[in-house]
Amino acid sequence: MVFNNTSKLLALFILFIFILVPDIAIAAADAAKEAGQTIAGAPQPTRADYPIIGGLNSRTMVWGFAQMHLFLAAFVLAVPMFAIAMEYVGHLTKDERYDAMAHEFMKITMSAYSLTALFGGSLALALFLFYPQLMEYLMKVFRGQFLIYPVLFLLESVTLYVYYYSWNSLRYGNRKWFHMTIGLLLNTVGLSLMFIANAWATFMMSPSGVDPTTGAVIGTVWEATRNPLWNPVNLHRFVANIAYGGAIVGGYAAYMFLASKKKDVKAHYDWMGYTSNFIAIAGFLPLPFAGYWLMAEIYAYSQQMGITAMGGILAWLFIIQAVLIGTIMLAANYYLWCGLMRTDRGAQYARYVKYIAVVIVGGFLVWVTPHSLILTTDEIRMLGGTHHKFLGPLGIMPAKNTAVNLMLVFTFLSLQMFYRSSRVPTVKWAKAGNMAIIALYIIGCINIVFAGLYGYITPTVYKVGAAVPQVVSTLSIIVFAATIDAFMLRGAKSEKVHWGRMSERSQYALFVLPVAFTWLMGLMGYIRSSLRTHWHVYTIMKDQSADAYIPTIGQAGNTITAITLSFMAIMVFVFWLSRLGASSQEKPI
Amino acid sequence: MSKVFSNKWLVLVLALGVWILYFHTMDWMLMEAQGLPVKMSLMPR
Repeated sequence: MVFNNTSKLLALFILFIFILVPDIAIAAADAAKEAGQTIAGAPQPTRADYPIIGGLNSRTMVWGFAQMHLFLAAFVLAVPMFAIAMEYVGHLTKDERYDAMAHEFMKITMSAYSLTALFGGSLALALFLFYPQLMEYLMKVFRGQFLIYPVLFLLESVTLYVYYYSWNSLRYGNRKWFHMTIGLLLNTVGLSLMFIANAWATFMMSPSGVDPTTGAVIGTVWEATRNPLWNPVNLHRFVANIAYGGAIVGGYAAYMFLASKKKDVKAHYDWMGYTSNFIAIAGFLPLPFAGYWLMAEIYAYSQQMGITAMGGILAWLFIIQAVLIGTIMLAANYYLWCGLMRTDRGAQYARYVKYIAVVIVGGFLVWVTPHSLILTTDEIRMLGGTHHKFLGPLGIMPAKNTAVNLMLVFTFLSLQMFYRSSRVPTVKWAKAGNMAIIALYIIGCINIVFAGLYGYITPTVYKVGAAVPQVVSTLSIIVFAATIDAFMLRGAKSEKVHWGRMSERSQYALFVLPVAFTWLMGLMGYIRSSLRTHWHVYTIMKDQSADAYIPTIGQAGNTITAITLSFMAIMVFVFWLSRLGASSQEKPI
Repeated sequence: MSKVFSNKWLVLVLALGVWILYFHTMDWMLMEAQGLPVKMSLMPR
């Protein structure tokens, strides 16, 4: 089919936007540089300069709006990424189920989109209202970029609506490619929006392009954008968004599965839940490595900042992080184990579940073991020191790195078992292939444990160094095992998968995932932001407001929980809206 | 050759050897790339 004139014009418009967006960014930066625009330095407001409005706590208000906006934005940005991937798979395989599912994913996104904008607007208003000096300074640093952001937001809205509403009219043949191009543009714009917002947040943590003592703008917008923590945060948020989006739509699928009475509808939502869980795990597996890189860059930028995070006042929150990540892993694995009952062959793998559970639970316990305990004098006497003689070594990073890597490897094993349960290999070398995979797991896990032991007995620099082979070992196991499987299962005999043959309790695991993910994101977002301690812009502009303090762990926990509960209430409303939109009243007789 | 691959235990032993070689080389290269003296014994005496 040949494109008509309208299609050509639209394609040209898309191309134009692709070329235009980076040009605007560079032009805005260069124009300011050519004009020699500099400012005297960062403002240094006193406490009296901060507006007090009706006794409201400025910090908590901005915290709440920012976090809610971030939750919704992460979801709204992530879903189009895997929706387009699914649409592509559906187009390649000619399986319309993928296309329908991608469309349904987008339907949920549409309900959440206006709420994202609402909280984004509230956040901007709150920032300008409570922190005018900071916003004035940031606008001077980022200049034209503050204009590009709303333009991109407009483009995001246009492409999102066009992508969703043109789904059925651009469904087959060349029109499908055109539709996917719109989806690609939507994702490009969405990611650009996130990268810009990340630049502002990371500039406040690791400012660049400004004078380090006065804060005077001496560089271009690009120099301020490309600050030391920008790319680590970009990568971490990109990967985390995929995992988060998968978890949220998994919750939607579970909601619909439990609410449905018809067998075929249950089967559809079971399949949707499985796919969502797969996306969440696929995004989650590389996430600790992106987080590790971010923390390493934080330490490289400022050791003090790193120590505040992991050895200072915020360190205990990392224990809560461990509990939440352990919960995510247990829930994701439990769902996969329940999924083995979908095939008649699945039962033969069930006997291995208990061993995987031992590793996951064992790793979880190692991870939650704190290094430094808050003890009374009597307790120290009873313990014989400040650290337990057996459990103490489990509190430091080599043990925790070993635990998390083994948990990731065994989560992948659960995924592999489920994948295998519906396929019988027909190649002659199947037994040899299985042996190669078993050997890979054995040696890879031994290597992870030995690197952990090596890291424990050697000085700190080796501890950090030994974590890298552990990460590469985990990734090697995943990549090699998946590659061998891919070749071994070519032309494999497919077993019937009984979609919908799932226990109802398995669906609650899908509910646990978005709750734990949301809580975790709230927690880690708080830690990332609090690393600046009493600075608006680290070491450049002090926060002198009355609410500039590090909350107690209890207060932080309560605030994060309240935000998480509010977000989950909104999500239930969004799910309900989606269900309401799909139902219709029967005509009265 | 095909006889070797038909004996799964032999394949297991061979695969164990191959993976030991792979992971050992990988450890060595990664530690060296980080500027850490891999030949030096760091074990506590």
